[in-house]
Amino acid sequence: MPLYICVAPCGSIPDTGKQQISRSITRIHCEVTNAPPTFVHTLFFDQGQVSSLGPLWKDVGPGCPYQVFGSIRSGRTDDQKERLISGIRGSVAEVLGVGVEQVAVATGDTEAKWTMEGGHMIPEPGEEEAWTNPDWMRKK
Amino acid sequence: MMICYCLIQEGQLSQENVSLLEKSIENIVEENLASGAKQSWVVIPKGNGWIGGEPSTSSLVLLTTPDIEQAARVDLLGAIRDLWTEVTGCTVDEIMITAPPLSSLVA
Repeated sequence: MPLYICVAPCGSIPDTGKQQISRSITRIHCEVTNAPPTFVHTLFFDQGQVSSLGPLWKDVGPGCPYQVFGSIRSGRTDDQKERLISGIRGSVAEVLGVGVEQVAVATGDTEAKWTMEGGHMIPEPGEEEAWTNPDWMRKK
Repeated sequence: MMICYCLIQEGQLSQENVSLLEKSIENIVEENLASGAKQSWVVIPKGNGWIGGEPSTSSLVLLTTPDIEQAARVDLLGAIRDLWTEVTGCTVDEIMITAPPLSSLVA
């Protein structure tokens, strides 16, 4: 967590572009949230595959060819979310060489207490030190 | 009936391991939630899964639950973590599991 899912027309993003985008998303997410980069997941799917993703995917810009939906820990501020969205939107557009109007980005909140990663329950934003004490989360 | 989405990286798991995980998840859900779960498996093609800007070897599991106590949710997540690492030989850093209440996904 976070999990960013990028959807694009089939074959429209070259492999190098996918790595660039994943690195940009990681950088922006970490700059905005101070989260460690090793937990930033970025997945790419063709538009025709989204129906297989169920609740992991939300159509964030109907008709928009390039879309990014990020499942992030709940508790981020509105300002942080706006910075994530604008930063990722601009970065993806730059990598792809398209206008920002062709890129739609949105985030959705996921409660930290619902997720386990790195072998432990993930902490609430700002409580990362609890990562070393999983018993703490069990009491929540 | 709960729903379970398992996203795995192409070429990382054998069909034998996938079949074993499917059956074991079914058992875990039955034991922990007294329910069944409709499973959907999605293979992420090579070059399409990244973590920290580098190629990912992580699997991701989303399993919905009824409204349950947090301790029960932790036990459920831990059971799937232990299953995944035992069957696949992956590390705990290569499995992310989310178990939201089904009610939270209903618009």
